[in-house]
Amino acid sequence: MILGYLPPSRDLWEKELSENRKKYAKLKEELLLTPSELARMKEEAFQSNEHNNTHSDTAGPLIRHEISHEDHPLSLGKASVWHQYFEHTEIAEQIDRDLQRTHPEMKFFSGESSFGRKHRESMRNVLLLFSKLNPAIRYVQGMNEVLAPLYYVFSTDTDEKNAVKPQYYGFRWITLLLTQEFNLQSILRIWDSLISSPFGIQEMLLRVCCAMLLCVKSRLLSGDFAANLKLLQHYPEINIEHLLQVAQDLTPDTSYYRLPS
Amino acid sequence: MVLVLAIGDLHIPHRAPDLPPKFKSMLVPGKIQHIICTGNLCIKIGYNVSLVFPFLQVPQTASKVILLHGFYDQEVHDYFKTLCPDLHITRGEYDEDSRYPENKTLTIGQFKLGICHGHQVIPWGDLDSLAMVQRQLDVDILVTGHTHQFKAYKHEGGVVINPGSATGAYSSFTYDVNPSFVLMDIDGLRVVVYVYELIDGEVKVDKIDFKKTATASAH
Repeated sequence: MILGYLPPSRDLWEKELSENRKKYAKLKEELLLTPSELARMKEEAFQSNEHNNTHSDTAGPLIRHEISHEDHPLSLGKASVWHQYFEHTEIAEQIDRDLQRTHPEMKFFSGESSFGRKHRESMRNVLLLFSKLNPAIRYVQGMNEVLAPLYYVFSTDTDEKNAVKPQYYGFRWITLLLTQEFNLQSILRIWDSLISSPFGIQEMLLRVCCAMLLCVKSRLLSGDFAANLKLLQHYPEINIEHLLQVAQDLTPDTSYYRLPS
Repeated sequence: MVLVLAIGDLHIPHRAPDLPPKFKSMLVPGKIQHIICTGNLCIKIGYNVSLVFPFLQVPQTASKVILLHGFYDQEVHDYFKTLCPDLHITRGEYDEDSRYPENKTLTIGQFKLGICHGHQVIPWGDLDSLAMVQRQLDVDILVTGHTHQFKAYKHEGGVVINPGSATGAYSSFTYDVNPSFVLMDIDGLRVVVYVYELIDGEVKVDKIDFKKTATASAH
């Protein structure tokens, strides 16, 4: 909001976001396709009889179509999409090199997981698009670093939208009273707390579930949908006393809750 | 998107001094991923051909260069290596260097390509005979030379492409040869063949499209 990206009125956010996302998708389509893909799309749009001939099974000389001086891969014309494409491969390579070095300590950006690679690819698209839309500036080393926090914030917002819904993992937790999530010793210990809790079994159960989420909070925040779902459906081993303490300490006003580090 | 250059029949310096400058200005490194040469590459002729080849900086464009048949001394070979390191060569009838095989096949993306100089296929340039070679090699695209005449022909076994002579060198058939070469853009099941010809001093570019059906020649 402060950077002027989103309007002050929260009601307009959804609309603004989806419009901007559509614009971005369109830009990607226009500017980030290879000339091959562009040519192919153009042809599919103009699918005419003479083009269909080349797909037929009849033998014979293949039909030649004359093309302009800009429409071929070796064109040196400034306006040629091919020429522009190859000019940009150098920039793209530089961007890729810089992205490999961005925040190597964070799984979000680095490493060979599909997660890190997906984010690097998105950032690459952003930087490439920027360089094409701003030919005077293009790409300068360091832009990747400036992009990183911005991208991180924006993509985390999407993550909230793609959040794992409680039904996916919580149903079993609650209906089976956590018996499938822990080993027998832990179950006995948890049930002791549930049964003896002054809050009542139901409320205590919900508190323990919340605590389970809180205890893996950092893992959830850095994971994607698939990883998080897997994590919650196969809850990791944890210090039960700690878990129960967290559950005990939960207050109704959880907005200020901070996990003890 | 894989760019493959098919070029040949240079016959440097016996029948032509060099590639046309307008061609050389376009053939820059970094664009092409593969080079295929059908033959007649290395003749030890003892010329100082460094004068013949004013090599340019090497931009990043060519990915593959397919050289067909023609005379080459080591510097022609090196020139094409600078355009792209992946160079495939077969033997032409003037090749003294017996390292080069009579024919070669390689797979690029979804396509199998075969290279054969063509002097071995009699009658020279006969499409039925070439089609037989293609079936023997079991390739989708056969790149061949020797006739110095550009051809792109489809038959039920696949496609035959002859990029002609890049220097316009005279052939066994005719003196009237326009310099030409071919650049293929292999993109999935589709190939776009760009034909570059020098006609009356001007470069003319044509395009040919063909697709491979998914069920055709299994890999």
